[in-house]
Amino acid sequence: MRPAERLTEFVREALSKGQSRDQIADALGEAGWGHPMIRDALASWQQSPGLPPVPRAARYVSAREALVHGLLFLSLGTVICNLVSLGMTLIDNLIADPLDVYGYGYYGMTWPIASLIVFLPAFLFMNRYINRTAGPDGGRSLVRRWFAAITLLLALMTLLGDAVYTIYALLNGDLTLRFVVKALWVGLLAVLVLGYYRDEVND
Amino acid sequence: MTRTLSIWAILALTVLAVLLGLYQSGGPLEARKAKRDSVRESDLRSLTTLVECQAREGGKRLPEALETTSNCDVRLRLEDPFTNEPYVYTRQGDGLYRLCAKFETKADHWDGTVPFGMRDPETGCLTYEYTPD
Repeated sequence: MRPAERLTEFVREALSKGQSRDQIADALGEAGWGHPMIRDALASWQQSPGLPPVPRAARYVSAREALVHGLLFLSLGTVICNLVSLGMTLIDNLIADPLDVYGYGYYGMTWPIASLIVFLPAFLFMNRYINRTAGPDGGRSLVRRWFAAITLLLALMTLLGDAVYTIYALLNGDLTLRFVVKALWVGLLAVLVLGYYRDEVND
Repeated sequence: MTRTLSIWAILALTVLAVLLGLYQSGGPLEARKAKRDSVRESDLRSLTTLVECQAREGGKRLPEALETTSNCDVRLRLEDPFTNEPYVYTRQGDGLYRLCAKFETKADHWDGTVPFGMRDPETGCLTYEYTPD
């Protein structure tokens, strides 16, 4: 029996003998088990009057989940990347820079606009579809949690990179109004992505 | 809650950015005009081969008008393919000549003089220099 299975089995037996969840958590903590493992083991069982501990639905992995959450992940990624790109061109056009002789015009806008027109509805549709098909516990898909974790990692790295680049520009004498607005734009989009997936990892 | 707010913010920012982008670029109609103008500019640039061929034929002097001859039978458009108006060729002396068309969009603005081979925003003409060698 693997350690995680031994832990879960111990929790089941303790619950069936009438021990409280706090007592079980304390005993496991003293035995050296970490808090996340104790929390997960306790969350595996539901107590109902007159019944032995009832196993909760386990987190699962399925090809369908991978397809659905992969589409959501890629749609969101495409929307955010093209929003960054389109925003950069808009900022270039809106905020004049005396060092920029040639300007950018609208040549860089058409592809991001076309992508956003297609992928924003795709993202909203996938988001709605997942919310409607998820169970009452919000879905216990491992794929969903993994995509959320990867997205959060990318968003956090983007925020950190944005901060590094801003400080670099400041120290290098390149910190213009145009640059500041661009850095804020990237930071805002990264924060929105963090906000979108934050609850997935916390639950 | 945070998730819902994020979705609404992404939606609002995307709609705003797309509308602003379409406004700045002028949308599909403006893009179509720009595409037609790029064909006209390309035609005018190609016509320099005809001018130089005629100049070589005419004793290293710029021709008075554009025309294909047996030795300069280059397959080029001498007129605007969209309006059928002929492209305008004019000599300016000192080996300079201009090729003009009626453009639908404004050319990029240049500070000071317009470089050779670039469209003049005021006249819609491209100026070239013929150097016999």
